[in-house]
Amino acid sequence: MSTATIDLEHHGEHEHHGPPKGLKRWLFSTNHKDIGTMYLIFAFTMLFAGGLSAMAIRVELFLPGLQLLEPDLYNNLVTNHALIMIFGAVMPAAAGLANWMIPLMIGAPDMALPRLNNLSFWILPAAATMLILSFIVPFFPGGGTQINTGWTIYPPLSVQVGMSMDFLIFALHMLGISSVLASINIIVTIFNMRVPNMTMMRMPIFVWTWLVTAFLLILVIPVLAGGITMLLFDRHFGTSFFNAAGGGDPVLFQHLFWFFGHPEVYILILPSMGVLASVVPTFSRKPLFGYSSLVGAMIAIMIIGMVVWAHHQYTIGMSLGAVSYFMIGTIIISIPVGLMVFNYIATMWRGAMTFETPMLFAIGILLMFSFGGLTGIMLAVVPADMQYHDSMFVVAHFHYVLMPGAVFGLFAGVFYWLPKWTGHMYDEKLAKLFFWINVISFNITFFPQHFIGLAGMPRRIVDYHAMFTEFNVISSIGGIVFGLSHLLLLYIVIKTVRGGKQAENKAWEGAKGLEWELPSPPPFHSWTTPPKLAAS
Amino acid sequence: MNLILMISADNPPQRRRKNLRLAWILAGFALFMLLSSIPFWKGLFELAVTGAQ
Repeated sequence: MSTATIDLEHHGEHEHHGPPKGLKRWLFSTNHKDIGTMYLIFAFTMLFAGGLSAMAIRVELFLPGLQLLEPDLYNNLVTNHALIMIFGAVMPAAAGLANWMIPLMIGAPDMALPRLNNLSFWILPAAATMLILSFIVPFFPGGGTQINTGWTIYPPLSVQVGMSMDFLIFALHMLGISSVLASINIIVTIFNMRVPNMTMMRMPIFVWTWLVTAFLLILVIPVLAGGITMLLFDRHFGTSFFNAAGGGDPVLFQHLFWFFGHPEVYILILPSMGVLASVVPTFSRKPLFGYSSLVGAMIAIMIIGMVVWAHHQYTIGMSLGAVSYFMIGTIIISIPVGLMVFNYIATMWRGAMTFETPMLFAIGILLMFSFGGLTGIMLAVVPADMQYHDSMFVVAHFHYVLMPGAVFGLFAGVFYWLPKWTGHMYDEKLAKLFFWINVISFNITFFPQHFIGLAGMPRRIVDYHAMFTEFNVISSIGGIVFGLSHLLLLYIVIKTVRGGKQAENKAWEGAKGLEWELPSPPPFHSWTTPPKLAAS
Repeated sequence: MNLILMISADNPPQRRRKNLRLAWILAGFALFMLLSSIPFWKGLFELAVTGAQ
């Protein structure tokens, strides 16, 4: 990573501009820090919304038989939990980190297109309203049936659902537009706004992960948009893209969806892997191991990740050649992913490690994400997947991938950069308490689901056989604790924003990078004069 | 006044043009992905179905 010589004399010259006052500051903001903060607050709100539906699901599954929810409402909650978490919580949170950190890390005064940045964010609340309405509309007279398709919205079911599906399709379009605009901005910022002498191969890995993620978004979101537009046409304009009776085929939608859906997994994970590239060297007090190989691994993940989508569809009856190709491709992708994990472990090797909360999350991620990766290899194998498909084993697998791989990484990032953002150190004891409650309850929730899945319990079904009761009881208790533990995170964040021990410019002893050369919190306008980087 | 100075100093017209040019190229690429996805996937799917038969 680069070392900076900062021209402090010139740097301060614009700092007397404070932020505008009142609502206007947020509504019309073009400041990357304010927009980053808004993204994070929005994501946090949606995390609780998605978490509530998850807790309702786990309460329902506490015992066999119907407890609280009717089957349609259960399926509605399964759908909205996934969509809210993916599009409302994880992606905006990662965008929040990107907005805050990329300009600080590359020595840019702001994002390249600040007004586009404002637009990208403000589309989100409108889209989220539309998304939430899609789940609520059926409860009003004439509102039609509830969305019972799951987040994959496969036809023919999604063609038959009432008007709530139209709300959902428009919400997805808006969320997609927001993501594509944000991605364009991020790519332009990274390509054009880097401080002189910061070559591509000197950029922090977090910036690299976002460059790859942004390209992935631009490549795959339009394909989802194409798919759901075709769905809309099938619903209202008499086309038969997915209607077998009219010469179409519903399986085509599955291909369109998963061409987006599988890279989406990497879209969610890569920014968090970038956070680890900052956290692990800091608390190991060693340079990052294998910078170039990490960059290569990310590019490999991007390319291979885009050509293995149909491993989500083994059971549709593809030809032997097709399933063999998708199986081999999927197993191959474990190589670059494993390389990333290996590099982080190698960075820790013989380092002077300390275990502050971001580092605890980093280690937890490496252990649990690797475990999720291993069950992923099980699912990649076609004959095995024929048995596991649509079982609770799959639910356990993807939660082990996405919670540690995406969400815990975001938590690590929040704890790591919170002193920089707020100027205050967070309460380390409470944060560690949050980590342990969070990680233990996460495992209590999802580990048993492997067993009940292997024993044959299907996913997306409101009721289950009595033989699965014990593990479901354990899973539900874990789920409730896991959900409630996030209130502690909220408390820690609010407490840190309101006060606490003053953070130094370089909040962590082992931290390196341009962002740590600025005051904590950084001035409203930072890097108005670019920092000077040594030529090599 | 200071704000105007800051914008002009931080984002000179040349860089602004460069940023916008790249943004439009990327937007065009995204539009291409959207428009090509429908015939491309439909064609590829039909090819796969024909091949399987």
